[in-house]
Amino acid sequence: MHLYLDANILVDVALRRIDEKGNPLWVASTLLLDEIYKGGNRGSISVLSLYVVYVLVNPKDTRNGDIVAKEKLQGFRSFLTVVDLTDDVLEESLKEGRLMFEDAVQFITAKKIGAEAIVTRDLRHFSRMKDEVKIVTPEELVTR
Amino acid sequence: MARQTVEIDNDLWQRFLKKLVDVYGSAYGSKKKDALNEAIRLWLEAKELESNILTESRRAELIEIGKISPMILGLLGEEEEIIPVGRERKIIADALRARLS
Repeated sequence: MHLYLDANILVDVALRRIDEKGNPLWVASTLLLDEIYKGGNRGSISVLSLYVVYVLVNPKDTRNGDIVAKEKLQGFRSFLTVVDLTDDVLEESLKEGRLMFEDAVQFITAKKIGAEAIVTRDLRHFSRMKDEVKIVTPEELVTR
Repeated sequence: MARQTVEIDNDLWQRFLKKLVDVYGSAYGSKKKDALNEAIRLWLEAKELESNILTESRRAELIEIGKISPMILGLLGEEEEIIPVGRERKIIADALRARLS
């Protein structure tokens, strides 16, 4: 299955993310990435998502943070297909009135590459698009 | 609405009635019904959360027993960070703003 991963899936892993109730969001996302790494699914991401990860891993813009963040980016791009953020994608995203811009970039990118599903934590953001592409959480995808 | 008859521990029931009076000044009518519905809803939510945590614990065990590729483990952050769903953008905005200041 060709999956398009929203930035928050990478953030779950790179920051070993838990939510405010202590639920370990990183666990399902890590298992999903492992499935992709082992060839169980194909995974694509936007180059925009790598920038999001970079900023969140290195929020204080330090030299050490830069090194750690770059290692993460190298790791993600080693097994995920990174889709360019082109002017065409930007133009379509700006015209997509049902979504906020960043979500629109993710949605348009996913459509452009023919992804079968968008994996995200923000189901609410993409709820208007579920007739056009499947929207799922990592928990729904990984084997229980 | 469904009408059900169930046996309830008497001490528990008396504590419930006392709390109803403390909170609402009455232990009868819609207040009792609303409180019972709330109690059942909270119990359900707690059990569902417990079930989710168990599922996540089982998954975490998978990671700990080494079923995950070392490459993927290498991508994991060293310590858990709390980031509520939907708050990423605010955190990114704060980080970018701090860089510009």
